[in-house]
Amino acid sequence: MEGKGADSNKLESLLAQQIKDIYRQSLGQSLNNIHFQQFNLGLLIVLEGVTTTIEKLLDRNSYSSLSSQIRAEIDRLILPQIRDAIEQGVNKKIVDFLSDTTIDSDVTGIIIIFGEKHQVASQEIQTRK
Amino acid sequence: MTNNLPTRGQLERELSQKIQGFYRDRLGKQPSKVTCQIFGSRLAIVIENSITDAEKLLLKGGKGDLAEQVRSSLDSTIKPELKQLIEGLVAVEVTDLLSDATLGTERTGIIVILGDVPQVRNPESIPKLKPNRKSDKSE
Repeated sequence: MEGKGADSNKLESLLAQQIKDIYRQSLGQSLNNIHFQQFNLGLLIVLEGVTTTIEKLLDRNSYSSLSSQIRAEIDRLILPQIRDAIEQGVNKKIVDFLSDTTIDSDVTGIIIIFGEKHQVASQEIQTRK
Repeated sequence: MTNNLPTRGQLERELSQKIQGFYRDRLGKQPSKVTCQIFGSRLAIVIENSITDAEKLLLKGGKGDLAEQVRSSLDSTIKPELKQLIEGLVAVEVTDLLSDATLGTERTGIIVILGDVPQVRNPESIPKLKPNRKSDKSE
């Protein structure tokens, strides 16, 4: 996924399909959209349409604590599969896989930090010692 | 009027500086580096060395579960204020703030979902986060 050429788009499509398959096979859930964006430290992924019908139903009916608990378990089971798919697809070691889901907005956000530094420039600051 | 707006780089730098200060003030721990990058109406934030000494001590003492609980509670506690801080800087409503931290690497990652693309002097420099249409078609 180094460049923005055909290979990169092809890889993103392949990964998007794999991620959709993981959700469909594990939960019967069809994701609405998957966004990929490379940045200097790694990769940003936003998954839309992650929340299942039962989580939404529980959340709407004063069982938000239970729906959060269900979501935490779902993420614990699903996200390692996504991590493996990306690590294999990109062929780079993932040193950090940071993820969070909000039931209300139906979105999972993932920040992946690879072992090697990516090329896209960004703004950063560093503490001077 | 456009000249009064910050550039994308200036806005990302200001966000980084203010978030670094916010962590220092609230948690008593200054992260060594904060990286911010805007992608359309999304903002990615990576905070290095974001874990406090107390959490590290718990982890070292075999209390990993408690350390995880502390981190999760700290993130939830500071989230509303962080959201407010970001809203004030980008002048756009924050509709969602997704946050996670790894104790082992001491890194925190935050994805901020904004109500709109922030206004900057050079809007053409903001990459757009586009959905993967090819995979949509293949369904």
